[in-house]
Amino acid sequence: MTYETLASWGGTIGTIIMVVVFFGAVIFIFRPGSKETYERLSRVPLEDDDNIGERKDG
Amino acid sequence: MSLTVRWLEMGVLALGALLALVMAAKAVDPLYAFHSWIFFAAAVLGLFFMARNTFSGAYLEEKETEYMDKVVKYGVVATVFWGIVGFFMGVYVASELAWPWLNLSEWLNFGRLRPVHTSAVIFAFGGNALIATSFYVVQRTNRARLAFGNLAWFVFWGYQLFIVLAATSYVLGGSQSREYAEPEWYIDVWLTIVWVAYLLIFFGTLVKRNVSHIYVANWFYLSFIVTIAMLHLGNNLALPVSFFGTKSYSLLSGAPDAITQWWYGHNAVGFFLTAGFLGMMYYFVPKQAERPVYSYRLSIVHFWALIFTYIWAGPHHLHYTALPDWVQTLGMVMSVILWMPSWGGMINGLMTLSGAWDKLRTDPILRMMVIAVAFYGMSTFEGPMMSIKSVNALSHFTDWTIGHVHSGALGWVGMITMGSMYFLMARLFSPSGRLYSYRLVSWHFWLATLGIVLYAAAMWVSGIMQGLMWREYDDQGFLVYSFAETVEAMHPYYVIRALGGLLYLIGAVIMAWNFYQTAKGRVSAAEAELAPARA
Amino acid sequence: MIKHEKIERSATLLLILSFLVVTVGGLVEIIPLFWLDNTIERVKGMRPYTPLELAGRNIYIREGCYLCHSQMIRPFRDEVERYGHYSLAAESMYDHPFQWGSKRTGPDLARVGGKYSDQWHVQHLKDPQSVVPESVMPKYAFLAERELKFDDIADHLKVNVKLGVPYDEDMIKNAKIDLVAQATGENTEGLIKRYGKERWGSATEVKARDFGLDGKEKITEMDALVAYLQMLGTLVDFKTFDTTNVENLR
Repeated sequence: MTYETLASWGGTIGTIIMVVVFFGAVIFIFRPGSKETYERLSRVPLEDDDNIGERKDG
Repeated sequence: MSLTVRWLEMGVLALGALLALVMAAKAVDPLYAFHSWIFFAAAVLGLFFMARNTFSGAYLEEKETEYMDKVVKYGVVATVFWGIVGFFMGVYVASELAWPWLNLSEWLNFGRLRPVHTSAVIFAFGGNALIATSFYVVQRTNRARLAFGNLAWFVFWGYQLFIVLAATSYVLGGSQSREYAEPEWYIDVWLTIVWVAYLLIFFGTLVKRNVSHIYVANWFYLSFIVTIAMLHLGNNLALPVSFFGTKSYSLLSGAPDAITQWWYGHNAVGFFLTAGFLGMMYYFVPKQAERPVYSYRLSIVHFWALIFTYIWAGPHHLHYTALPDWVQTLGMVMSVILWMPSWGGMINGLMTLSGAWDKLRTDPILRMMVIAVAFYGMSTFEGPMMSIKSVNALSHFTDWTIGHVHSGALGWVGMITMGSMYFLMARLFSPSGRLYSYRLVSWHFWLATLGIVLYAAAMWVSGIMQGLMWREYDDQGFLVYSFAETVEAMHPYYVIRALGGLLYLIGAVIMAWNFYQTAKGRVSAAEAELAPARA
Repeated sequence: MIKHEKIERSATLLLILSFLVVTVGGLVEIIPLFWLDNTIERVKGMRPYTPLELAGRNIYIREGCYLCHSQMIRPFRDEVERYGHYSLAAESMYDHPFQWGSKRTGPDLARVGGKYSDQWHVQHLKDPQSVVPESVMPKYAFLAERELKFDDIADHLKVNVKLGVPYDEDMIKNAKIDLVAQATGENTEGLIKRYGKERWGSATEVKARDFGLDGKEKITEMDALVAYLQMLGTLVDFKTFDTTNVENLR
C-alpha cells in the first residue's frame, strides 16, 4: 500500500469510524433507564456535607 | 499517619537537599547553580517544618475522618497571590509594547518578561486554582479524604517551587523557546515528579471513594491531569548539553518539532485551560446556583466529544507554514468540529440557571460564573472561525490571536476561577459563611468585564487592521505600507489594551482586599444588616 | 460490551479510556511526519550552523526573540514580496528547536540574512529607535559588552550530532577554532573547508568577519547574534529548487 492510497482512504475510514462512535455514544447515553441514574448523579454536588463516608440520599 | 512514614518523608527531603548540594557544586553555569541553591533551600525548609510538626505532635491532630481542607486553603491564597502577580506582569508587558522605554534592562526586556506573564497566569494562577479546586471537589463529591497523606503538601509546595524556578529562569535567560513550555529540562523533570504525585493523589482519592459513581466534574479534572502529563512529556523531550548545565537541545527539529509544540500548545489551552476549568464549572456553578446541572447526559457527551476532538486541533497554529498540507486541513476540520462540544458545554452551564435567572440579580458570584460561561461560548465560536485557513491567513501573526486568547483567558478562565475562589473563601475562611462584602464582588465583576471588553475590542481592531495593512497593494501593484508603519498604527490600541488589563488587575486587587477582610471574619458595615448569612 | 455505567463506577477504566481517547489525534497527526520524505523537500545547500552561528542562535532563543519575530514566510504574494521566497520545511531541518514563531510584533526574519549591513544590525540592536523610530523593540546594547562563552561549544555540536545534525569529527574537533576564525575573519581556510559552499552547495559562502564591530580581540554575544542573523535564509539555492515538482509539493 502506498502512502497516497493510505492517505486518501484514511480520511474516509476515519470519518466513518467517528460517525459510528459518536452515534453509538449518543444512543447509549439515551438508553432506557439511564434517566434516573443521571438525575440522581446530577444532585451529587448539592448533597455534600462535612461528614466523610456518610451518604445522604435525598 | 504513622511516625515511620514521617521519618521516611524527612529522609527523602534530606536526600533531596544532598542532591541539590551536589548539583550546586558541579554546576557549569550560574543559573543552574542558583537554581540548585533554591532546590537546596526548599528541601531544608521543608525538612525544618516537617521536623517541627513531628516533634510538637501537631500532625496527630489530623484525622482520617475529616476532609483535608488546609491544603485547599493554601491553594486559594496562592491563586489570589499569583493572579495579581500574573495580571501585573501582563499590564507591564502590554505597557512595554505601548511605551518601549519601559524595557528598562536586560532582565525587564519584553522577550524575557512575556514568558513570566504567560507562565504566571496559566501555570501559577490557573494551575493553583486547578489544584486547589480539584482537591476540594474530589473530596466532597467522593466523600473521601485526599489519598496519600502529606503528598498533597508535597504537590502544593513542589508546584510553587516549579513556579519560582520557571520565573527566575526566564528573567535570568534560561528558556527552551517552546511557548508556554519555556522552562529548561531540569525544571521539566521537577514538574514531572510533582505532576505524577498530583495524579496519584487524585486517582487514589477516586479509588477510595465512598460513593458508587464518579461525578462528572472529576472526569474533567482527571483527563486534564492525565493529558497534561502526556503533553508535558511529549513536548519537552530534549537532550541537555551537560547534566549540570541549563542548556538543552530539543529532540525533534523543524516541522516535526513545530507540530509537537503546537500539539502541546493548543492542548495546554484545551486541557489545562478548558477541561480542568470545566471540571470547576460542573461543580461550582450547580453549587452556587443551588441547582443540579441542566443535563447530566449532555455532560457525558460533552466530556467524551471534547477530549477526543481537542487533541487534533493543534495544526491550526501552523496554517500555510512548511507543515504538510494534509495535517493543516485535518487540524482545521477538527477545530471546526470542536465548536459543537464546546457549545454543548456552554449550554449545559448556562441552562443550569434555567428557572433561577433571578439569582443573577442578587448574587454577584453567580453572575461572575455565568459571564465566564458566556465568554467561553464566545471564544469557542471565535476559535473555530479563526482556524479556517482563509480567516487564519489574515489573523495569523497578528494581535487578533492575542485578543482571542485573552477573551478566553480573562473571560472564561479568570472569571470562573474568581467565582470559585469567592465560593471557597466564604466556605473555608469565613466564620459566618459569608464574604466581607458582596458589593465589592460586584465592583470586581464590572471592572473585570469592562477590562475584557476594552482588551478584546482593541485587539480585534489592531489585529485585523495590521493583517489588512500587511497585504494592502496600491494601483501600481506595490505594497502600500512598510512594516514599521503598521507598528506605528498599533500604538493607540496597545494603550487601550494596557488600560483594559489595568482594570482587570484592579478588580483582582479588590478581590484580595475582600478576601483579607473575610478571612479576618469581618463583615462590611454597610452590608451587615442587609444580607443574612449565606451557606 | 462495556456498560458506560461501569466506566462511571471504575476510576481505572475512566483513566485508561480517557487516556486512549486523547492519544488518537496526536498519533495520527504527528507520527506520519517521521516519514521525512513526505515532510521535508529535497533541496541543495542546507548545512549545519557554524559554531558561532549556533552560539548566536542560542542567544536569540535566550532573549525570546521568537516571541515577536517569526521565521516562517507563508506562500502569499505580499509575504513573498516583503520577505522573500516562502519558507521550506528543509530550511529548519537542523533547528533544534524550531523558531517559526507565532506572532509578528516585528517583521519576519526567515530571510533577513544579507539584507542589512553589520553596522545596521549592531546599531539597531543597541538602540532600535535610532534606526527605526516607530519600533517598539527593546534595546540589546548589553550584548556588545558581554563576552561570548564558548568553552563548551564542542559539546553543543556533539549533542546536535546525537539528534541527527550532520556535524563530523573534524567539525567537533575544530569547533572552537572555527568559532574564533569566523568571529575575527582570520585563518578561515578550515572554516570554509568544513562549512563552505564547495562542500554543501549553499547559495552563499559562509561569512567570516568581526560581525559585532567591536574589535577582533574580543568575541562578544553581539558578534554571535549578528553572525546568526546574517546567515538566516541564505543557504538554500533556489535556482535549483523546482517548485512545480510533485516531489516538492505537500
